[in-house]
Amino acid sequence: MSEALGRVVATERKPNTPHEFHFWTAIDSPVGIGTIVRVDGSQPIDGQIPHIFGIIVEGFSYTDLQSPMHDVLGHDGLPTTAGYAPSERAEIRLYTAAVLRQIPEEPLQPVPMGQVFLADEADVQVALRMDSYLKEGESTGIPVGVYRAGGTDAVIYLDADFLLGPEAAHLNITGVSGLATKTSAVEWLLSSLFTHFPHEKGSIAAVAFNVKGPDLCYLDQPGKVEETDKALYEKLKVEPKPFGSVEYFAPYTAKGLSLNTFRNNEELLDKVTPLTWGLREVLQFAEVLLNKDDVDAKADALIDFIREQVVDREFSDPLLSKKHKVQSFADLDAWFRDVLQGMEKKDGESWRTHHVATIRKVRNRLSNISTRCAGLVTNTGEVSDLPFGSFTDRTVYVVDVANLEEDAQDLIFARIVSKLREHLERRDLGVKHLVVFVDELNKYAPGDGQDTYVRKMLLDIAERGRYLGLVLFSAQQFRSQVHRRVVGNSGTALFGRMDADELSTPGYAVLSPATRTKLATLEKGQLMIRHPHFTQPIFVRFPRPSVMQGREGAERYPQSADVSLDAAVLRALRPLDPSINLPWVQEITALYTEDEIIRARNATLLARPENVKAYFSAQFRKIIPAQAAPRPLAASIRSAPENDPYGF
Amino acid sequence: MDSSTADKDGQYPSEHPVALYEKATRAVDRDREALEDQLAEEWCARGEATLFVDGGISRSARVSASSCAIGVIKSHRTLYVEGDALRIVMGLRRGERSSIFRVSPRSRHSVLSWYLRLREADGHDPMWGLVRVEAADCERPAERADEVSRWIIAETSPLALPDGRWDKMSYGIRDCEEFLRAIS
Repeated sequence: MSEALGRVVATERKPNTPHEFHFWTAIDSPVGIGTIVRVDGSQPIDGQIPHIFGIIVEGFSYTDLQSPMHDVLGHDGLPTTAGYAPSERAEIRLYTAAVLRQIPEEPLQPVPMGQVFLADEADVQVALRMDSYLKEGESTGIPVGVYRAGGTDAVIYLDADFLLGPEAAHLNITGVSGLATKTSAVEWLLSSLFTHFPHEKGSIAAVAFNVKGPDLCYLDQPGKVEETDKALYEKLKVEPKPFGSVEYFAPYTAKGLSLNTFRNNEELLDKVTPLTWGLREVLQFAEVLLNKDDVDAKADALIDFIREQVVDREFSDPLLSKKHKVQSFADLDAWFRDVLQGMEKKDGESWRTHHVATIRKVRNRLSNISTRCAGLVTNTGEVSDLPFGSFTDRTVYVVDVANLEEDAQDLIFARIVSKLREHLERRDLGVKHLVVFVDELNKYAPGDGQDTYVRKMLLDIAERGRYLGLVLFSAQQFRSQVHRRVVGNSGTALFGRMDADELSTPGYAVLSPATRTKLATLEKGQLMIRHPHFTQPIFVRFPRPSVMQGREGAERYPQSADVSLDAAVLRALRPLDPSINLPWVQEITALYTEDEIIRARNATLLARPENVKAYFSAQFRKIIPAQAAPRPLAASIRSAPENDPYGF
Repeated sequence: MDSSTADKDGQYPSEHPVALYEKATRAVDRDREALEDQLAEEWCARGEATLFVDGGISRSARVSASSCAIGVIKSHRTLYVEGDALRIVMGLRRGERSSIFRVSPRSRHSVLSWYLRLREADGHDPMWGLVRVEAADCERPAERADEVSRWIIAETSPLALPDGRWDKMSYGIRDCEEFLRAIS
């Protein structure tokens, strides 16, 4: 047994309670804010010696000085002379600890006087109630980091049942920007989750939305792992290696030539799949892009009509000049043009109860979508999507929306999450549990401002997702500014270094001033954790993720500049067939328009055929080389007779 | 106190509680002094470092002759100077000491002594910040007195407040008293 490091004290002014106690230690005692201690009572209760576990939440230092003035006088008002005093003032350390657990748990009594010990690894497991879910053979523990204090290194586990459901679910991370805490923590936790999530609980995958910078773009590339981190990985029983299975999805740039992602370096393109949607996919989520000011009830009715009666059907009407089959934005625009021309000819103000002004407005708004979401929404109706229905176990699907307009980001988020939800409801996504990681929750689910479709979706996941296996891992800089129901439904909360302004908001009032100070000064790689099993927040250290960091990746694999159409086609097709070269592409595409070439490339990427060259070539219309027509010989004109009486 | 036993003259101690209390106090003081002397003698025998004694050192022959013990007396019930010498002592400024004199009490042992002003007495009584120092006889008493005086002045910081005798008391002595009070 280790030596006692302190003794419990209680005074009339500072009595102990069932949830808090005080103890003193020697000056050089290895304890501080966040240290877990054990108190051994001296009097048995019901025949059992009580053991109380607590975490230090406040510390006090005292001397016998009654007034600062006495110290000033003692040193003649000169601070420099203080160092010469041969005697040092008597000083004590007094700590306040919040109770984590009492054994026996009943009767719940104020903490008794007793010796205080530094908690060892076994104590930490008991103190944090981890013993209930770390049972041999049925452990649901997911290592989140290492608790360190005074020579104790204890692995802290989250309970998978409370992280991914069904008991509780969701995880929220808060921390200032720039310290790589939030993204690093999620990357590390996903590694740990994929390693330790019990196989008998089913398969698990993650969809991560990369909303800014290149942070999530190199999850499959190895990163630097320091020796100290290697030791942490070993302790936490996670291999320090990049994710084995990662798939990237990104839309094209507005020009449609290259993918709009930080990961568009040719060396990394093989794992990036284009994300393109057509009219049908967009119309399902038109309300994401059309706000209430844009679309009133009349416009909504027309959109419904188009969605149900026009899209993907043969549509004819006496007003129209021809039959329409609308499958793309281009088809839709042609349909609108025909309707409006027909109305103009008839000089009518309404058609099928829809007023001409409403028709013009809806045409304007819907046509705009393909412009606002250029690169994502195709005019031609081609769809390249996430592999809904065939998600694979322990795979991360990264959707890179970092370089997109806000509207396009919202559309992608809304549609993908809705599809995930639909598939999980039908149990045919391919995996049983899915983690969705969304950063910048301040933007997507703010506490104030108008209600958006995206915020409604996040609320829905937060409140009902765990029953489906849909778990939200969210991150933001200012937790206080995120919708309360989103953060409130997160069973587990991680906190990196915090901003002092944020810490002064009411949500942090439950933390002691010392804990708040510690939060404001946390180092990289340190986190404070709140988890349903822990009655108090715990500080842990986690290893730097073993994947390439965004900045390093961006330097090693610089983003490709805009390329020519031929080069873009070559870059897209070469991962499918390495024998393809630029002269071949130039030869095949020489006679065709840019739209035709892009369509052929997209179709080939979508089909991923075995014979890429043949498939790509077959996408173009046949052009028969023009042959010069033989020039007919002109019949000779007979000359006029010399004696022509009519000649002049 | 045992009030049931007669002394050598056959007299029984008074049974008055106050008298008994005073007698007990004196007995405890004697025992404490004996213990202090014993501890100081053991310390001086080791000869490792100088011992700051709160009070005189002339009670013990071994301590009074050891260069390891310095006595600092805060109370001045007995004055060892008179006339011009008294005026000089009362007029000492901070950091000044008197000349050295020998103190040879009848029942005690002879030591060297001098007065030392620890704090400026302006606005206070003439005894403010004045201590008397006792040290063992030595070959160069003036140099020794200067050296010891510097040590004692260094011990004026930190202040021994809130003790009422903080002007003369070193912090270490106050700390020791606080410790004894806490465990008694």
